[in-house]
This record gives sequence, structure tokens and C-alpha cells, in this order.
Amino acid sequence: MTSNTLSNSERFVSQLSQTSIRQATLDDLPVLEVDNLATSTADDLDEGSTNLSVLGLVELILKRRDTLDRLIRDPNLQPILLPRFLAISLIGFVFFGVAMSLVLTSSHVWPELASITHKLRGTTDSLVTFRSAPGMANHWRDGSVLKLTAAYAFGLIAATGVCLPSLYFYGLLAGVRMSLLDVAVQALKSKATSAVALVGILPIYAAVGMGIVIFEAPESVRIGAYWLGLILPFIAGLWGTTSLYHSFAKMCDTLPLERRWQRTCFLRRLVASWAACYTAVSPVMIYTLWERLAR
Amino acid sequence: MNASITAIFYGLVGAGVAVALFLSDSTGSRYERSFRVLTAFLFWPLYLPLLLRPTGPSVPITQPSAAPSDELAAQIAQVETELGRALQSLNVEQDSALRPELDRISALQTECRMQAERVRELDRLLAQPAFVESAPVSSETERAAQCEQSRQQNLSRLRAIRQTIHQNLLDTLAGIRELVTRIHLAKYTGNPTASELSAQLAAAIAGMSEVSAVSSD
Repeated sequence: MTSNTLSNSERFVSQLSQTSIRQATLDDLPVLEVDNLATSTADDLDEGSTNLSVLGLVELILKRRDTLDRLIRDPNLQPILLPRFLAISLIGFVFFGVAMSLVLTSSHVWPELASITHKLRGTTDSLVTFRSAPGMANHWRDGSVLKLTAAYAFGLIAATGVCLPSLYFYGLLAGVRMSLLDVAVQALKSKATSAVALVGILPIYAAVGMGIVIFEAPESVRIGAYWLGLILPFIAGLWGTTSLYHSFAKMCDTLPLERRWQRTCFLRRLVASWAACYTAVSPVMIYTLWERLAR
Repeated sequence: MNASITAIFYGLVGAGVAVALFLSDSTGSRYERSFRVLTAFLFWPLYLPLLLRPTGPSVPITQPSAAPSDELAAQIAQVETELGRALQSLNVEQDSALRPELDRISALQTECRMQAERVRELDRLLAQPAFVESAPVSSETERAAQCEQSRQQNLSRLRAIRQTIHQNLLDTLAGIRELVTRIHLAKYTGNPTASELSAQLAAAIAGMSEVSAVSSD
């Protein structure tokens, strides 16, 4: 096959020098719609079928990601979409907090957090220790559940706010024409995607959690399952990162044609770097908040 | 600065952003406005861009770059789109062996646009009333008749040059389209290695560059 294609290649090169026939070929070019898709705004879409309520946006996240990517670029829709994406994210993270608390309380354990300062001084072995805590409702009454949920919900979204300027800067560095509001909406869309994925994973995790309680799994398995729960938002965050990565790649159609190839590659790498930066910031943010609230 | 002071400052800025948002944006239901104000207080860095956006008639700044304005530019853009899709399907950006070819393709695309611009320039030139083809004016003197004849010959040469550049450009574009189909063919009829694809791309690009070079001379 290789030699065949290479000989075709040579034939192709030799044919190129002949001046003939090609006009007719080009006249028959089919009309592509890629650029048209990129330029279309919400006005061009069938508004009747595009529901922009919170549930409608969840449906778009799950089923029509391309449509959503076009919608979020419409400056008239951005002020409407931003709080709704935030609402989806908060709802998803609150669900997570409640589910995680249910698993922990039904296992009769609760995580005890050590100060990062103590860990750095070497006065404590582990930052998180799972202590046995008898009584199912105690943690619900003393506000521990609320603190866990608040730390995750606030920490995950506030970390986006902290990292937002760097994402904007990365976009500028790659030469993409986008405003700070564009970047904020893109980042929140990615967060909402993560939250939706998290809600999708939660039933599976809850089943695992219930399984280790019912079948009295060994201690190491239990600890592993608790840790898995604590990092679950980061696993779900991979969907959000992928969504952000693809959205930003599509933004490259704002670049001049002659620089689009190199810049798209560069921008994709920058977005991946930003995701890594966010993954480093958010656990620190969550832990600090949780530890402060738990004092 | 300890955590409490940081929290106080954060809250103060948040309150400011929440009030500003409440005053500036009265759209949506009462619940939506309440949600916006509450979340603006808590997550004000996310709402700040909303507050600072220009209030004039909105023009999406993220719109794609200049759309093709004539038939030739549309053809170039279309061929580039086809090529882009083909290269994306190969994940050429992730493949270091194929990366040098990307630069050559990019240079070839620039060359195509330059050729198109030359065609447009010549079209504008030849569309001037003085250059429009017409019956030679009968001259009173022999010298004037010679000049007129020479002028007509130069105009004919200009038209021929325009035709050659145009034809070469179309040849190059057709070559790129053929290359696109070969990339797709290579992908679906076998599993070509990066070096094989690189060789194919290099051979095709060299041929097309040759055509472009001929038209530039």
C-alpha cells in the first residue's frame, strides 16, 4: 500500500506541472458549512428548540455540545448563561457533598483534617485521617456536613475565579480574540460540565459506598473508597477539562488563516497547562476552606 | 494578613460587585436576580467581567476572522477547510514527524493568498476604462500607430500574465484537494506511519510549490 501511495504521489507531482482541466474541478466544489457554523449566533438557531433554562442547558451539555459552544459565544446570551452555568455547578457540587456525607455517616466515619502548617512541621503524619464517629445524625446536626459541602462547592468554583486571569492571558498569548467575559463563560461552562458528570458518577459511587458498608469490606478498601470519594470531583473534572479544551480549540477560528495552524496547537497546550494549574489550585483551596471551617 | 482580614476584604469587594450588578442588571425574574446578587457576593471574580463589559451595541469579538470576499478567496478558504479537516483527522499536530510539513503547508497557503491578491490587482488594473479592450484607435501618424500597437500588445501580455497566474493558482488548489483525498485514503486504506505520510506530504507540497514558483516568476 505504501509503495502504491508513494508512486501515486510522484505521479501527482508530475501532473501538477501540467496546466489543464482544473477549473472545472473547482467549479464543482461542494459548499462547506464549517465557517458558517462558526459565524452563526443564537439568532440563526432555532430558538424554539433551544431551551436556555437550567435544565435545558444540562440537556445541551449532555446532548448538543456543538450548539452550546456556539451559543456561549453570543455576547447577548453570555449575561444570561453565566449565572445559569454557576447554578448548575453549585447544584452538582451540593449533590456531591450530600452524597459523600451519606456514605461517610453510614460508614460511621468522618474525616479529621490536620493543619497544613502542622504537616509541614512534621507534627502530624497525614493531612486527612478517617476517625470512627458513632451516631448517624451527629455530623448532620453539628454542621460538619454543611462545612464539607460548602468547602467543595465554594472551593471548586472559587478556584476557577482565581485561575481565570491566567486563562484569559493564555488566550491572548495564543492570539485568540476573546474578552474576559468570554473566558469566564467558557470556564463556567466547563465547570458545569464537570458538575453534570459528577452527578452522573455519584450513583455509582454511592453504590460502592453502600457496598463497603453492607459487605463490611476490609479497612484498606474502606479507606481507599473514602479517598476515591474525596477526589471524585477531580475525576469528573476531566470531562470539564475536555470540554474547555475543545471549546478553546474552536475559538481558533478567530485567528487569521495564515497563523491558525501553529496557534491552534499552541493554544491547546496552554489550555492543558491551565487545567493542570487549576488541578493544583483547587485541592489546596478546598482543603484550606474545609480545615478553616472545621476548626 | 490573616484569613479573617482576607475574608473581610473579599466580602467587601463582593458586596460592591453584588450591589453594582443589582443596579445595572434588572433582567430576569425576582428569583434569578436574587440568585445573581447572592452568587455575585460569593463569587465576584466571575461576575466582574460581566459588570465591566462594554454597554454599547454588542459586536461579538470572537467572530471568525475576515470571511472570503470574492470567488477566488472563497475557493481558497474552502480548500483550506478541507485540508484542515484532513490534517486534524490525522492528528498531525501531535505528530512531531509531520510538524515540519505543517509549516510548509502554511507557507503554501500564504503563497496561494498572495497569488490571489496578484490576480485581483491585475483585474483591477485591467478593469480601468483606459485598459478595457477596444478597437485600436486609427492614428494619424505612423509613430502614433506603432505606439498604439505596442500598447495593445502590452495589454494582451498583461491579460496573458493574469490568466497564467490564475490558472496556476487553480492548479495549486486542485493539487491541494487531491492531497486531501490522498490523506483520507491513506488513513482508511491502511495504517501509514508518520514518515510515510511525511514523505507524501513533502512530495505533494514540493510539486505545488513548484507550480506556485512558476507563476511568481
